[in-house]
Amino acid sequence: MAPEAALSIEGLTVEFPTADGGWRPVLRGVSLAVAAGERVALVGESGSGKSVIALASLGLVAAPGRVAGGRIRVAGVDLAETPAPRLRRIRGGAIGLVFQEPASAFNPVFTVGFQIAEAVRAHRGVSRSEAGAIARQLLETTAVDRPSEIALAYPHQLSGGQLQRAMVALALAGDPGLLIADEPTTALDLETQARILELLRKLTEASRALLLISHDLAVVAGLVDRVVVLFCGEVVETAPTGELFARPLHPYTRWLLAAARGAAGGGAATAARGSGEPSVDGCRYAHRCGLAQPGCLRRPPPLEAVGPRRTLRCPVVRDEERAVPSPREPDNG
Amino acid sequence: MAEPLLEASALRRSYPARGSGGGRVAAVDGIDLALEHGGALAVVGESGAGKSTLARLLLALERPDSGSVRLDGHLISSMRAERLRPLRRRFQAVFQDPLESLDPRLTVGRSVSEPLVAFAIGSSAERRRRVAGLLAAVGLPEDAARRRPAAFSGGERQRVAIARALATDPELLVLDEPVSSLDAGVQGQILALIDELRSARRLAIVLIAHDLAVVRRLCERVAVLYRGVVVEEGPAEEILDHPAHPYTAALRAATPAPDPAWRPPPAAAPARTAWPEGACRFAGRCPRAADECAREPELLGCGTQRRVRCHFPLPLPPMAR
Repeated sequence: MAPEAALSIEGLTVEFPTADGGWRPVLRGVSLAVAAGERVALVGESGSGKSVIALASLGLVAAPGRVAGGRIRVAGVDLAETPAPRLRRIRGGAIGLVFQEPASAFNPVFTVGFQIAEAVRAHRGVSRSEAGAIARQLLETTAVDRPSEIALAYPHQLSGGQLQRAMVALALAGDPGLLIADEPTTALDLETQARILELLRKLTEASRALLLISHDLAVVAGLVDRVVVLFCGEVVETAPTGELFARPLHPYTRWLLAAARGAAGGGAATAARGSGEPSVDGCRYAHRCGLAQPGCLRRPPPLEAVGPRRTLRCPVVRDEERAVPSPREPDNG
Repeated sequence: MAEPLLEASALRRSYPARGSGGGRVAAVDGIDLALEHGGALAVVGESGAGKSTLARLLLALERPDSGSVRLDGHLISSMRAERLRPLRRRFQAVFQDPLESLDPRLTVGRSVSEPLVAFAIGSSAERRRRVAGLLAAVGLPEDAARRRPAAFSGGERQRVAIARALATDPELLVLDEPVSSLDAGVQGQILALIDELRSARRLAIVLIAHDLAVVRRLCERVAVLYRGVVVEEGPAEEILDHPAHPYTAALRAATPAPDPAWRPPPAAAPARTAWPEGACRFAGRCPRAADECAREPELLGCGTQRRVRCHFPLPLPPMAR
């Protein structure tokens, strides 16, 4: 990996208290790196811990949650060893965050342009008028349509798509080396979604890295270099995007991809998967898995390298792959 | 053709425009639709197209300014509440957010039996049996009836909402974005469930959606809405494979494919942006617009089963004509 990773997470465990006084981990030893300029997708369903990773990367695991283990470095800086004032500069300065609800990113009583300029001032130490000029430039980058009107508008005067573009401009206020986008298009129409995805691509064409968080493989497919699949607080598979779509390995990834391709579902009676509790001692996916064997419920499967740039948390598929020489990757095109 | 189960004619509904001025915005601006018994019709379009207003009109939750909705010949759009009430058990609704449509204080069993109580269907023992049967039909475990909505995942709650909608054994289900708040994986399961229930119960559905993949999965026919009017309507597969209206084509192009080679289409450059009042509603976004588009086109037949509202529809391959 080139100089300093934009984001490096090692063995991150985050817990929340339970009603009976114990702690329940929502992330269990998650490791994840985003190289400078790299685009990575973090894919998983609600409750998998995706958004907690985004918040932890900003040092924002809120009480009563706690980071129980692991290390997070942003552009080489260890968050745990960073005093609060510096942490504030990292948030927004090194990492820009875009999330699903743009309306909640803005204060309703100030214009969008003013708020972006304030963020620019906080991170770049420029004068008020310079900050205003940079804010307008940022809006010109992110909003194709009438950027100057958007700058003067209050949040409620903008459509969902316009507001999402304004939030991307806000995330860029500190010229961050990493953008984290958490379900940035879930609330948007198809065409607006396409525009936002294109915008994220444009903004990360040079040296800026992207961590795109989504529940939908179709949304990330055309945009990222690598995919990390999260299930129940654990990484279950990582692979370069082309390889993952050509040959998904983990049963959960296969199911997600089948769903995205419209082939998942099956009979209604069996379809209510996800009811029932994941195994405590064994594989957390076993209760939903078509390939599960008795052994899967006894031991937690390790995350293992299964290729030069692939990891997999499933011994059953790993053994199958070893037994059968893997087919050649289909040519793209 | 036999009498359709549901028929909307020249439906119009407007609301006061936001801001000052006292103007009105036509959310639904002259819509005709028909759905046969057991059929499946999708209504797609972006936010602001009028989809949800149309759903409320079809469900007789709101009255149109003009036009009519008939269910099996009954004029439900202008019926008095007490006459409408007994008819309501024949058409039911499922909405986007099951958490909002289920009472958090009631057990799932109570929620699902509520329509049975409201329409005085069966004795209490019969209702219990019926609730158990409904929960099984939507793939929920037996003990689900005793639990409350908070104990379920989003997908399971939507199953509960579907079970409740089916309690009165309706002929028509109106589903307003039933899967758009669910995870991609769970969406497939709910769609499969709806499909299965449809064929098992000879249920007709109107599916409101913004996602074309959902439509293809579930419906034989689709109506594409744009700013309150139908711009294209006909067999779903044919329209989604070979759109004739430029707006349908844009929607289709913007649907992400689970394929690393997929790229969002470049933003279509409109031919020109300034159009007079009464022009085609899509003209300002349309790459094909020309002078004729200053006059709004009619919804006209195009091929045997399709209607398109466009002066310059996209050419269709010979098969689809």
